[in-house]
Amino acid sequence: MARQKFDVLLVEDDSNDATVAMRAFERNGLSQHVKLVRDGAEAHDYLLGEDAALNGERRLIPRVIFLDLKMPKVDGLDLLEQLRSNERTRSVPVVIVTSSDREVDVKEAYRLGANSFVVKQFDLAKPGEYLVAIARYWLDLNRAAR
Amino acid sequence: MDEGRNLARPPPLGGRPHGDAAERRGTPRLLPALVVLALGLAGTFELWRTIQRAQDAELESNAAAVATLLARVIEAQIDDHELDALRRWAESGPDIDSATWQRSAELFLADHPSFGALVRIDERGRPGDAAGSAEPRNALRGLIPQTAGQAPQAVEATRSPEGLVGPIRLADGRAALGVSILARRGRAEPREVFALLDPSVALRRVLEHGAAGYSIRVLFRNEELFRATANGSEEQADRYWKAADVALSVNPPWTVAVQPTAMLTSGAHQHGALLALAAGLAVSVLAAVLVYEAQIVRARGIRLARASADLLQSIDETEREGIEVRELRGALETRVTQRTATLQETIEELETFNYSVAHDLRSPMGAVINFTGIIEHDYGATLDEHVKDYLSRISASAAGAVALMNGLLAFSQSGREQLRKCDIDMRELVEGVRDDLDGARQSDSDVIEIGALPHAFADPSMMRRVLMNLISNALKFAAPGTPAKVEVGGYEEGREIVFFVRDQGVGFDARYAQKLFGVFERLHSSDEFEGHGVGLAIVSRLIRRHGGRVWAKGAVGKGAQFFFSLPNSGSTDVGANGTPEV
Repeated sequence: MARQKFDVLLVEDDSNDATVAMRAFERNGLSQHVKLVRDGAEAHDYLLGEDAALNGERRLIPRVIFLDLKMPKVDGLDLLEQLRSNERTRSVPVVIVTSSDREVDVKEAYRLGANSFVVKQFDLAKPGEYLVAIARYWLDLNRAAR
Repeated sequence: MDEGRNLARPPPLGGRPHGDAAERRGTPRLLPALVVLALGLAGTFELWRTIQRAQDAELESNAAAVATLLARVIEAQIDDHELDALRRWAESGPDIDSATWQRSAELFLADHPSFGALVRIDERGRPGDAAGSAEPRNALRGLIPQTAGQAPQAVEATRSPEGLVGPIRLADGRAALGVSILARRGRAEPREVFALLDPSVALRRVLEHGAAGYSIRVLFRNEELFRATANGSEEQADRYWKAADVALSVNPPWTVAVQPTAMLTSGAHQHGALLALAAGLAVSVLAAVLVYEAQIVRARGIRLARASADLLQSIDETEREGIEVRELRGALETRVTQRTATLQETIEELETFNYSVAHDLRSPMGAVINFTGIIEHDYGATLDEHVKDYLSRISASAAGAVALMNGLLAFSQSGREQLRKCDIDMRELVEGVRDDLDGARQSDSDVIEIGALPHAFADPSMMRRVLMNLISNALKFAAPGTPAKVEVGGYEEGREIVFFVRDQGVGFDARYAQKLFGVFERLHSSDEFEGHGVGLAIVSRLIRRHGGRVWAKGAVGKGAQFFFSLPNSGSTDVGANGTPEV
């Protein structure tokens, strides 16, 4: 079966955050463009796994990855490192979306090649809307390398 | 251990086979000095004695010679002068008549004062004619019976016809002798004549000035006939008397004794002995002193040796102690290092725990906020007003919790970040803060005045946070209804650079000034002023990490002034808990 091409890969293990995020995308008509995976291992499989490698489809690579840091199995920074060391994913924009704003995390993320670092926002009036805004930026405004 | 030093060390004194207590104690010994002094004195005394003996011998032999000489002088005087004159007179007319004899005798006595009286023995052997003054004549008569009663022939046959009788004391204390002369003339019958001889008169002329430096005694049968003391000198001990026999032509003989005067025994002749004595004494004392000095030096040497031995021992002990101390210190350091590591680990664990708690609680709290928001947003129209109120309370509490956790995370982070110091233009930094805070101002009429600000050597991002917190605090606590007026300044004071942020706001109770800097400490309720009570705690922690201090002055309703200082040198680096980072 042919795999759907997603513009956004959301790597989020927290179901609450994932629910809020997906609701916001849905409300803004973006949900069909967003692929949600629940941890780093799953993301790795999706991006660099056997299945992906066999198909060799470049279009399966998303245009932006929203990556949580604190995750079971493979955590965000490990995954980031793997993405940056693979030719296929080397230049995919990665936005770190995490509840941590530790300076060490920020620095390490940038060192490993993150393109942006965003601390999760809790907005009573517009929950998760900030993710939509970020997605629009990367999908609509950012010029990525081909 | 240094072997060379062991070799240089004297052997332990206690192990020596000999050495008296004084030596062991290292005190100078008096005995050798005393022995030397005694030997010296003995030698000196012996020398003095020898010299004195030699001088005595010389004096004695001199005295003996003088005595012999004087004996000859006396013999000549008595025999050749007095007795010869008596004989010649006696033989000039032994048998003359009484009146003639008497006149002749008086003339003779007048010419010869040595003779006090004359008596002629008659044919019957009895004292006959006599001449001289009464007392000598009577004295002479008293002597005659000892020899009278013998016919001259018998006298001549049995004994020497001439002889001495006596002595006899005259009234004036002088000793006189009877001299018998047998006078012959031609073929006539010899006639015996007695004369009273006063030797002192006879000898005075020859002896009184004839033996300078010597006292002279002339004795007859232990009776003193004459005495002459030279120049009034004291007489010496008897051993100095030297005697010689005076062999007269009449018997029995006299004895002449001479003695050197004190001038001779203690005078110039004694100088050598005295000099020897003095020199000997001086040498003895000097030698004793030298020996004692040597003893002192030796004792000092022993003391020094002991002291150095003790010193070496104490150095050894000190070294041992030093080693022990080093070991202890090493153990202590190890323990401190271990404890510090453990403590650091604990602190890190605690920080991690804090962080994890804050972080992990933040997500659920965020979920509460998010979902209450979604409910309000999606179903608000259908909800009862009470439900809406409860939902808003839920979300407000969750938001408060999130803010608290954000503060806690910030505080936790303020202790974990590494210090990166550099020179900071504080004015520029404060201006940046002011610009950033534009949005936080409650009204456009709020004023932030920036005064003189010295440069600082510190971590710029931390200083920025410090000033951000202080200035935003000052803005926040402005008196209700009036525009905030905040003044930022700084000055150098001693070894510190002091910065301050002053406001004219609500102030605080000065009694609780130090509580301001505690975590989650608030002097105002959160209903009055928003905030979670970590801003000043973060300021305090960041400043302490720089080795500086924080303090505050203020009064309720009269504004507050927050100070912080930084070391002027800028070299001290202080750990997360306020301990210097090395």
